[in-house]
Amino acid sequence: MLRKMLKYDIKAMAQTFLPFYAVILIMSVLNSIFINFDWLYGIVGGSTILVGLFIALGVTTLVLIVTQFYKNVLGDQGYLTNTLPVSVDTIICSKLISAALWICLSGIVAMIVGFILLCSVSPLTFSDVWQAASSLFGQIFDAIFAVLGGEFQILFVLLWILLMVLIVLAAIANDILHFYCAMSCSQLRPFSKNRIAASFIAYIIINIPLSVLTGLVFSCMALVSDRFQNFFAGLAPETLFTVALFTVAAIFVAMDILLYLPTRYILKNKLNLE
Amino acid sequence: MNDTMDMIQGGSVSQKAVLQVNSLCKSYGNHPVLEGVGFTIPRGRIVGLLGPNGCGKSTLMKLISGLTQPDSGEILIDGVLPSKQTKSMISYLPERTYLNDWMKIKDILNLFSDFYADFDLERAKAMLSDLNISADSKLKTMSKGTKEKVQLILVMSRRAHLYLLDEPIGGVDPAAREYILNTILKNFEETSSILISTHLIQDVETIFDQVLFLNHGKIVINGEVDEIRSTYGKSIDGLFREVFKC
Amino acid sequence: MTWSFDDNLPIYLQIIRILKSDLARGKYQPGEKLPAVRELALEAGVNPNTMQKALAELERDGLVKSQRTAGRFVTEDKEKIMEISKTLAYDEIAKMVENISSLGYEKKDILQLLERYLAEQEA
Repeated sequence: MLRKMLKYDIKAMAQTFLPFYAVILIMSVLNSIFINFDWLYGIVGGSTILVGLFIALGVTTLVLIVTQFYKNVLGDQGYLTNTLPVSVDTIICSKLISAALWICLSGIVAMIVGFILLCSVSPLTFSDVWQAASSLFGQIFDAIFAVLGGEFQILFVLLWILLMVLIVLAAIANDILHFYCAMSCSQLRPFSKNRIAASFIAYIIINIPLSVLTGLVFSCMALVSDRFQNFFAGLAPETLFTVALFTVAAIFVAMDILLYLPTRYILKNKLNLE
Repeated sequence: MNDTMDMIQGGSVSQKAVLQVNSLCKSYGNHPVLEGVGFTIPRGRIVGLLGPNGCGKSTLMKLISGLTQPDSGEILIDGVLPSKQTKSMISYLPERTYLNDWMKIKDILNLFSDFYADFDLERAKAMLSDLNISADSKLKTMSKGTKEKVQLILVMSRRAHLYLLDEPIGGVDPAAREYILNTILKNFEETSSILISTHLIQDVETIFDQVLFLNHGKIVINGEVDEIRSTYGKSIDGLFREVFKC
Repeated sequence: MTWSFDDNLPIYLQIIRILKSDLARGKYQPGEKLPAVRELALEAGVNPNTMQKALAELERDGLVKSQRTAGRFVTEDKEKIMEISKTLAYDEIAKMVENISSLGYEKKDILQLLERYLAEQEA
């Protein structure tokens, strides 16, 4: 059922995002042509439009993620969504995954645009930039190798990449679930008189324990690292780095769960559509 | 038809009513909406849920459909408590328009086929083409009245156990009303039951076999239409006007 | 268009009356197959169960016969249908007589009035 649901949730946002991406990519290609021909007006105009488009993309992404959930689950469309023979988990996960997918795609589009512009700024060709980029990453890895010394293991690098991807995804999920949780609070009795205002206030209120929690955990870590300096000193640098990544990932995942559970509870037991 | 009905009601299937509601209570804050509502709907019935605006009809529908949870009491759909399973057995037409703006007719048809195993796609297509609505028409550009008809077609194209129609004829013109009532009657099957809420009873009461009067969160009358007519010597509409006199 | 019903009588009784007058005026000929319950219910704009009840009543009176697989047929007994026509006509006359009596006419005057009326209509 999740697959079926995802199909419609992804499609709902594709209607807005795909044309947007097309316009941005066309604009960046145009801009790089202007740069190549040294046409000042074109460069200034094109860059301005491009910057504007990016701001618009950011805002649109945010607005769509919020409105898609609000309209489709808590608004009139909720009468259909919440009476489909699927679990609340399927509904939330489908919305979450599709929103995360579009954020990632927007990020990828941004990188492609950066790449296109980078190529046109200098008289370099695409392959030059590619080579420069890969040599840069090579140097970063060399530096890591140098710090870690000879005992370097490829498994660690794979684990780190995995953990970093997890952290990025969990952080994205965190932002999305923060919105979902805040909007779900508007279903609760005393707040449901003014749902939109309630959502805004809930967003801010939820933010407080979240930032306290992150702050607390990170400062605890610092404390622990001070107290047990000897213990950590005894660890190999790669182990220390892994532990750090694990901790950050765990904090984000824990916060995701903390935001997910109340959302789930409200949608399941306290739904109160207008 | 009589034979099938006898068979069903005599057989083990009908031992469980399509819908059974027991001492159901629901309040919003300090305001009680339903206070101990109880009734049974056997198979093969068209039942009218009648009452003035704000008497709790929609809340009752939401509770049965599983959109809202009761404070106390019990709802059984074919013997099953509201759940994912009962959602696949109930076809619910809410008062609100729930269609997605980005969708075309074919998208919403696909959605219903994807999620409801009992959705009869061919039947839905036939009814849509009767209204000259093509699969490529966009929901966004449709009038409110057309959207309501599309929604009714979707709901009535399912082969559900229980249909919940919340104010299907509220605020529509007489021609649309006739279309809606015809669509309901045409698709009604003896193996299921239909619960229709309305506060406009005239012209509609002939399609009910049973009516429930809901007032101030309580069922005040529950009976067969023809029995009520002969007992009280007046139409359901007349009785309604008397019971709910302001 | 759906049939129209009075407020104060059970609907199935009114359906019976309408169907009987349909038989009397030959809308359905003796021996003819009747439409299915669902179709009739749709035409009348009533619940199929109510239509079913009305037809069962007609069946009990011997006006229609149901054959398990083939459906429902109007009786071939023309006399029975004549009888229905007569009963319905009597009902109408009874109503008329009552109405005219309430205007203060004696019974013997009513017949006179009726004769005069019919003669005037013919002229």
